[in-house]
Amino acid sequence: MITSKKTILCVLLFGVLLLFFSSCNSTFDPLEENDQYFFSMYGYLDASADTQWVRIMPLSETLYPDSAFLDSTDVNVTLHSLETDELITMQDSVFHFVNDISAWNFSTTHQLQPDHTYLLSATNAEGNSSQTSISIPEEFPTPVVYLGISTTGEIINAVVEIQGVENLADLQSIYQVYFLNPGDEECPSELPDNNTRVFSIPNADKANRTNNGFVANLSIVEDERYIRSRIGTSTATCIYPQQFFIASANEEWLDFSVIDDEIISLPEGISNIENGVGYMVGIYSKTIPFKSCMDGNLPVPCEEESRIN
Amino acid sequence: MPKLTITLFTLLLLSATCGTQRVLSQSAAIQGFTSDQSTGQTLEGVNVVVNELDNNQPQGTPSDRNGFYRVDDLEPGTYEVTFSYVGFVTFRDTLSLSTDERKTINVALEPDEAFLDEVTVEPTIARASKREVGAQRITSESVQRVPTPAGSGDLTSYLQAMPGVVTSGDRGGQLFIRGGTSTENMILVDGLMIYQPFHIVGFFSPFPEGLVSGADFYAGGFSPRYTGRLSSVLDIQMREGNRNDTKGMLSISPFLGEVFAEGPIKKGKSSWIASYRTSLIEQTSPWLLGEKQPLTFNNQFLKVSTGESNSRCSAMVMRTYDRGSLDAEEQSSIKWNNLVAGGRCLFLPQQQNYLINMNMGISYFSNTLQNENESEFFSDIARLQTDLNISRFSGSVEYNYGLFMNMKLINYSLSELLQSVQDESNTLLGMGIYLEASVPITPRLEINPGASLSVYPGIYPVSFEPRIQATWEPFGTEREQIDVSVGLYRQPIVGISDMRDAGSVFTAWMPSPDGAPQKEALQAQLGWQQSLGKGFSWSLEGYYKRLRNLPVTTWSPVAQFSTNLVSAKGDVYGGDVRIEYNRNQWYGFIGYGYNWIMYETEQDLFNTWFGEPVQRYHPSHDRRHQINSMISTEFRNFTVSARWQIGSGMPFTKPIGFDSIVQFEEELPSVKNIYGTPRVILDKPFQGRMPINHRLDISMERTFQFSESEISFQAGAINSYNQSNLFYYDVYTQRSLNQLPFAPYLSIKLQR
Repeated sequence: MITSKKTILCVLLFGVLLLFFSSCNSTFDPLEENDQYFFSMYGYLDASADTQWVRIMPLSETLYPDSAFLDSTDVNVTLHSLETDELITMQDSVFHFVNDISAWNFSTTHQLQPDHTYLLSATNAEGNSSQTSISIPEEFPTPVVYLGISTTGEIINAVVEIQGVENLADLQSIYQVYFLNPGDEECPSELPDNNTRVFSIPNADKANRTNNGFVANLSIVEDERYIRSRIGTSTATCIYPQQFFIASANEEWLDFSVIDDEIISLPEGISNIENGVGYMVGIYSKTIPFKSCMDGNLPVPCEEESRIN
Repeated sequence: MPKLTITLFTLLLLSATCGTQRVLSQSAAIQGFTSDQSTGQTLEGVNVVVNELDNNQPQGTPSDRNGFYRVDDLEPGTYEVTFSYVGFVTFRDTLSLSTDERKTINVALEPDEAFLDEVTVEPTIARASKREVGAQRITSESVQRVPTPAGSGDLTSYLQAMPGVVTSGDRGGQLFIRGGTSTENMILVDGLMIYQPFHIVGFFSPFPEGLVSGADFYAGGFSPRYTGRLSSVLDIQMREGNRNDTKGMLSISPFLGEVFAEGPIKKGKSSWIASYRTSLIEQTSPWLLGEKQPLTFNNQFLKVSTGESNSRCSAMVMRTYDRGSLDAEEQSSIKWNNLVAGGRCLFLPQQQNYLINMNMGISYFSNTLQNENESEFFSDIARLQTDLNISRFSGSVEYNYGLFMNMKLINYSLSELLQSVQDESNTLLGMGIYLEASVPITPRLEINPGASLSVYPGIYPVSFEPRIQATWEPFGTEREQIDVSVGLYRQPIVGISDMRDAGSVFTAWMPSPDGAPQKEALQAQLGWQQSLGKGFSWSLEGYYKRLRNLPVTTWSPVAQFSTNLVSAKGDVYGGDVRIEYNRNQWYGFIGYGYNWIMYETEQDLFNTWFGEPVQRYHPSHDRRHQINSMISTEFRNFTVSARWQIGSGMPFTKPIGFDSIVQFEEELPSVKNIYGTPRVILDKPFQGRMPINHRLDISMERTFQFSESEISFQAGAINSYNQSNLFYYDVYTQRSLNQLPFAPYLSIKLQR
């Protein structure tokens, strides 16, 4: 009888302890409360462009945010000219990518001025904001292009001479590729209007610094090889050199060729955003034809063009 | 400094030896092996009591795990020797000993039919109750007590009920002991290394109660005989087969099917024992748990034994296979294999005062992880080993010394999408010697100094690892005992797991980076244990470890398995308290373990990331608090058991938020056309903690006897109140994976 009482007592005590501890359900919130970074900002402001597009996103709570996340978020993005005190409100647009991933890009058609500084701010409904100061470089002289031509009349290389640029943010060789129709064997002498695609080859890494700028010696063969590697060698194509895109930046520009990928991946590895993450830069760009222009025997800058898309 | 240490250690040994000269003059002794007459198997824990007929001052000792006993320090005279063991007929003999005589008496005890149901064995001789700090002798009977969802108890379930032992969950098969990582544990099966024996379903191992003769578990402070690991030792002895009769067992539960048989090869002389176990959870989980658990494992074991009187030899082979996906929703798959084969021999030369134990064999382990993104990780390690161990008795001093040699062949190949393949092969040849002594300074104080000397030519300098352990009974009785141990421990190879995922099981083995020293731990432990009477006992242990040269993978914000190692240092301290009750039909314990681990590492990236190059963090196996409890009783022919555990959450690195990196490396990006590279912005390492988890497992068993057979039914449930315990959280996909939900089971075991 005593044993039975002890047994019952032990079982009851064990049960009470279990009930007590089984109620120990702590909530699990895997995300650290974020009072450090409010927005992610990426892109550039180009004083020579008609429209400015920048990526501004509140830091998401998921790896792949969907449009519902953006719909439920209230953000005000402004561009403030420090020289003129002008305040520009940028317009939001939701862009959709594969797998229902969405991103917010903000735009303005306001004409930005070279050698001006703009304060880009994004503010959420709680009043938390991220901002960055973007200085746009002054205009630089139109670069001069020298083409090397073979005895058969083909372009072998192009030398692009860029002056008045402190930091070369970009140099792209722009080609248009025509996809031959079945049965066609020869490339047309002129670029057809249809069945074409634009390829931009990043070539800034081939530019060498000079006393007052940069000079780049670009191999057409290498560019064509690169394009064909992207298209596939089995596809019959004709490649037409079209333009050069050159962009200058101020000292905020980072030399990405010497920055490790892991540093870039760090939230503050390359970030120039206050209370946020990302990288914004101001540029001045020029798009020029892929040809040499001569004044008599003297090479001169060609007239600028609109960039083909 | 090392020379000074070696000199001091030698002096210590010499002084210890000199202090026992008095007893060396009385060198009469009896020694031998004890066994079970009915099966021919070794019988451990037999109480051997020697009583001089005209002087009633008994001396005694229990037989050890090999069935070996030795009573020293006997005056010439006539003695009555008694061999007793619960459940067996006591054996008595009278013998005369002359000066310097060493008499060998091997005794085979006959089972007593009247006590067949008794299983509790409590040695009554003083030395039998002595337990080293951090050490525990695990018997087959104690393994049986812990509820396991199968027909048999399992060693891994028992280990998980011990304070200081932490698991990552009920799958994965990793044990973290007193602040060590799972790759810092030495697990020996019949003297041979096995690398990752615990199965992917964490309740199971290749060591069920029916196969295990016993195991010595050292949570720290282990002897210099065990070199090459920092954290713990689990030295498992597998059972020998029945030498007289063929027996078998068959059991099935929703988790596991098992068959086991044993019998004589040459009756009374040699035996075999074999077992095959396979998981059934993959097949039964859809209807039992409501979701498929793609987890499979099996293991096979074969052992043959022979020998009589003064020598015993055995050979065995064990294979394990595990395969599965820890997260059923992901298309990743991990698999691993162990193969261990070898033999051991034990010799007791006639009229000599030493015992020889030899082991030789090969251990192979491989593991492969395949991910849905076509990455594949592979690593394997083969280890050839041989060792010779001698126990020499000189009066009341016991010396254990020996030599060991091993060769390890290590490979890994890590192939990830968009990453270059990382691969490497290494060969390590290691050899060494060790010496330790058990020196009774007074009847109530015993010290065990020892050291090992090992060398890995061309890779590491000579390693000298001194260790000392002492046991003191401060109140002159065996009811209270204080233990202390201090020692230096080194480990020549490193097991690297993926830091991104606390539930990661894949391990790439490799030596320390070129030129780096072996990883090292200086350990100190202090323990108190007391028997309170009426079945109650309690123990309290504290420990501290100073860790140095720990190779840890470089921290990276990029999702990539890295074998780039940097050195870390660390500190671990903690304590365990355990209260146990064992009387009549009741057995129970409750234990609390506190554990604090801190790593410190310096990495260039930290400076950019956090503004300072050095980061201190609690690694992912730092479970700060843990309570384990168990109760079992026999009630009207039923055995009812319940086990409950609760543990605080383990650390993980919290994400702050997510964005996408828009790349500027090649050209100015057009944000209209590209989304960028998704990125998780991580907080400082391991600042978050997973939630508390707790679980109650219950079981009830009833056995029915038939003439020569018996059938047992066990009903029970894992996670009885269906607690949602988090197994791991993936910060990239933000998916949580829980441990097993409420899982009822019924097992049937038929044995003859």
